[in-house]
Amino acid sequence: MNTKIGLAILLGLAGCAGESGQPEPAAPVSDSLQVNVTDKAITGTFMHGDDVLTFSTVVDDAQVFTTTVALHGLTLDALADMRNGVITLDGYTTATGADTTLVDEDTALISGFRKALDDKLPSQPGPTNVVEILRGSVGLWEEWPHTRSLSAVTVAQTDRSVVKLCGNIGSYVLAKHDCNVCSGYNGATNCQVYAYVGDTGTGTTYYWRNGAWSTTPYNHAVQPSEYGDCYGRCGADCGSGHVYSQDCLNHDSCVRNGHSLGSAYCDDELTSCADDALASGCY
Amino acid sequence: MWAGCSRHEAPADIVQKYFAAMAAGDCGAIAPLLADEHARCEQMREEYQEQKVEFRGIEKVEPDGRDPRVTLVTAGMRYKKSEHHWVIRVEDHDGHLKLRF
Repeated sequence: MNTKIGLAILLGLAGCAGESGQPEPAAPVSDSLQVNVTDKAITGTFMHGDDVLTFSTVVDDAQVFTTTVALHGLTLDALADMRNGVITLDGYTTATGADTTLVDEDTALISGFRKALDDKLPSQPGPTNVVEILRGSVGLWEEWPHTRSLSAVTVAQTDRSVVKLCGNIGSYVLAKHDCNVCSGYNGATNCQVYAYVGDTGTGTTYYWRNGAWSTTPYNHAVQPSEYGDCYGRCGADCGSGHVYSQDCLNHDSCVRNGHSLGSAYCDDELTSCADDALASGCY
Repeated sequence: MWAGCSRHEAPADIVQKYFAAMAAGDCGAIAPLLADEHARCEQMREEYQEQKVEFRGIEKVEPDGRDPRVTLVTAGMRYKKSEHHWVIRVEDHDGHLKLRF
């Protein structure tokens, strides 16, 4: 059936239902993504209904990638100097440069854009390029806690390195985070889990509990086994791109075991993910 | 019913009031201070206390660049053996200040 005709029929039916006292369903909001890609730049616009997000990532000859995303009067910048291993993020009010923070509406639009980008330009193996830097930067902002400053945060420095888990996809790897309840048996083992690395096709995390898989999260149990929702893949939810890394695994284990995704208590684990998120994918 | 703090209180005051209530584990006092009606105070309190969070003081108060009804209050915090800084949105809801995290 023609989609527009089908939609018109649905809306017509919904209108009748509304007259009979039933609530009318919200009209669907359409997404559109316009993107231009070259070896040196990716630019474009994402629209969700009347909401607009513009984006660009440009690379210079020194392998410095400059990303700018603008939405809702907010500008987000990421400067990634890949040769020197320095990544700096910034965010400010577009019109004035004044400080601001992310709010739910920003995160929702960023998330919609990230998913549209994944659909239109699926992650490809190979060296770092403008598409993957844009994808990684947007993935970071999608997970950025709202209580955290956006202003000029250096999130990766030269003395850090990325530990990828490409060879561990399909196996269990010990993940850990740091917090004040890490005082279980044999040290900090209640802040550790054995996580099955990879995309198992489920958007839910499963926890081995009393001899069966459960969707009930643990709150700092001692090294439980867990899988699902692309454990170890950098980015929000199942993730974006195909980077699997120890830092992203650690962050996943933090937000899935006693802390919420937006929890400030996992901030440092998220910071450690920044260089991983901008690395080249496993496949 | 008490619905948050009245406008004559400064944004920094309500943030301090929130952390005092959080340290005391008093969800009855915390809930009216939150802009998000769906915020789960018990979970926030549990995490706050488990992490042995220390509120160290107000570091900065400034208007939000995108919304004049919002004040950004930066709070100095200590947990996980290091210093942290939370930027908390203080929103004006019809003359009542409420926090959004």
